[in-house]
Amino acid sequence: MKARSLYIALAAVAALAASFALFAQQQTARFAVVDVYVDSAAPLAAWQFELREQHGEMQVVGVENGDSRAYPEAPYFDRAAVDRGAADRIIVASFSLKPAAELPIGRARVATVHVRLTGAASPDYQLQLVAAGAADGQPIDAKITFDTRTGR
Amino acid sequence: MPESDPQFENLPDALVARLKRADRSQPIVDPRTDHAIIADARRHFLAARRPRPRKPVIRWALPLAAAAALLVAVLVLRPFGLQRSADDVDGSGRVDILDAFALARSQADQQKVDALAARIVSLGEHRSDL
Repeated sequence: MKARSLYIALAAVAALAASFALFAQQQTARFAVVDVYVDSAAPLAAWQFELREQHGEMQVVGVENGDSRAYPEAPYFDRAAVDRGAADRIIVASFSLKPAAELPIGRARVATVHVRLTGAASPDYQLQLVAAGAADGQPIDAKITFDTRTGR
Repeated sequence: MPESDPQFENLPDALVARLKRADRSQPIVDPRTDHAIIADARRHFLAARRPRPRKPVIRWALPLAAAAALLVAVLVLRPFGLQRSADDVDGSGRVDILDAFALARSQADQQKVDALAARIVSLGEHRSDL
């Protein structure tokens, strides 16, 4: 009888601990917004970047395009992986066939990435500019940066 | 030499006597001299027969030829073994958005451009890598 009571008590404690863990995880999950900028001295006709989070505690939930009128369409990214909730990193790219005079020069927001973060630690984003090109299709030197905001 | 040789008749007796002594003398070949000559001859011909050390150029000729043949084979077979990705439109050696951009600039079908761009940004197994 005593042993049975002990098993029941242990099971109750385990269930309670699991509930607390799940609750804590839900409490630490939050949304954030990463604004990505490309800074180029030449008119920017094409760009591609990859965003990761060093601790693997990021899930991309959406991507939207930037400010420039030269890029009216949403950029290319793996929508299927985002919809499945399987995008722990993201590759985003776009190009514009507009003439060079209409392309952005200098620092321009090219995309905004919406992410869901888990874990208590601050996110450590790793952003890499994979490619940047001019209107003639030639690669150009450019710098990539990001700003973060708290999401909804 | 006969004693009554007519050729000695007009020669002085002393000379005749010396000539007769010289005629009777036997040549003596010392065996040591014989061995020395033979040994000397052997040394001479052995030295002549010994192969000369090969020159470095000849020593390296075979490995160099093999390396050259290997290089030629690699250069010739490379196009068959490592074909460039069909997605590498601009021939840069890597596949990125500049390839989709190049395809779009060439007035290609929009669906093809979108499909290439989708492969470029894919996170999964359809990723378009070289």
